[in-house]
Amino acid sequence: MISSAAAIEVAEDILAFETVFRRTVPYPHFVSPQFYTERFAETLLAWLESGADWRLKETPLYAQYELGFGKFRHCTEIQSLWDPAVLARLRDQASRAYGVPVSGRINISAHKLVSGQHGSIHTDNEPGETHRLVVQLNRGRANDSGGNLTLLSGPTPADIAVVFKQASNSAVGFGLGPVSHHAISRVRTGTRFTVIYTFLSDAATDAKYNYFVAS
Amino acid sequence: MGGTVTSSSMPPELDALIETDSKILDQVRKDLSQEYILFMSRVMKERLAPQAGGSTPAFDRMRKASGPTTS
Repeated sequence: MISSAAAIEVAEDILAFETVFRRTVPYPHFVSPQFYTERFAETLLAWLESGADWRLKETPLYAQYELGFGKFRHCTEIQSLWDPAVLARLRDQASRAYGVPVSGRINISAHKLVSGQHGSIHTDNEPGETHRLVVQLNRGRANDSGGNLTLLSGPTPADIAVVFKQASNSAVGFGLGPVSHHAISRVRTGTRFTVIYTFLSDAATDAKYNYFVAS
Repeated sequence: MGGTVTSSSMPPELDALIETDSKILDQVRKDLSQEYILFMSRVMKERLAPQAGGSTPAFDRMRKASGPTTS
């Protein structure tokens, strides 16, 4: 049994996520300049770069490498990522940032996009998923390197509303639904890493999601 | 561009997080447009040549195939 003081300490060693800018266009979202502590951001990025077991996924909508952290519970160097106390703090701070309570059942995955890969306009309007939080991790990406997360007010390229820079350790959060149109522009140079938190609803089944649980 | 990306409406802290350079914004729009055209042309081809055993529109099938956590 871990004491509450120790749990708070663990969470503070992993998560920064204190400053949040809430915005409303094209739909409610927030952006945070520093999600992880600097030390953990470096640990996690190094792990992502070190040849983790990525799975290539290609559809007409997108092409990217993916992994789900549920299959890496044995990796002790990054296990703080899914520590229940860390996830509890994430749930609480995310709830404040979203302005609504989110679930403590959280799916955590990562994406790696290399040159030529992209994500076309989509909503991720899945019945079991309520909110998405995307954390960018990199060692500095030029503004013209491609791979920008983009929010749109509708389903066509003419509906572009916000294009995010790729500041490492910054995070973007938004609710998922029929209007949560977003996309990833084509990567031109380098490698784009993101960690994706998906907050689940009761409709998310254990069979479909290998999720973690907050304390 | 939808016209909603403006630096004047943003606090300075967001300058490092949100793109306002028109060259980059144009490039993103161009990239998304190319992907959109490619995707829609595939949808149209599927509609013109319906596959056996499936009545689901191609667009829906492709979206479903994208699965969770595609951001």
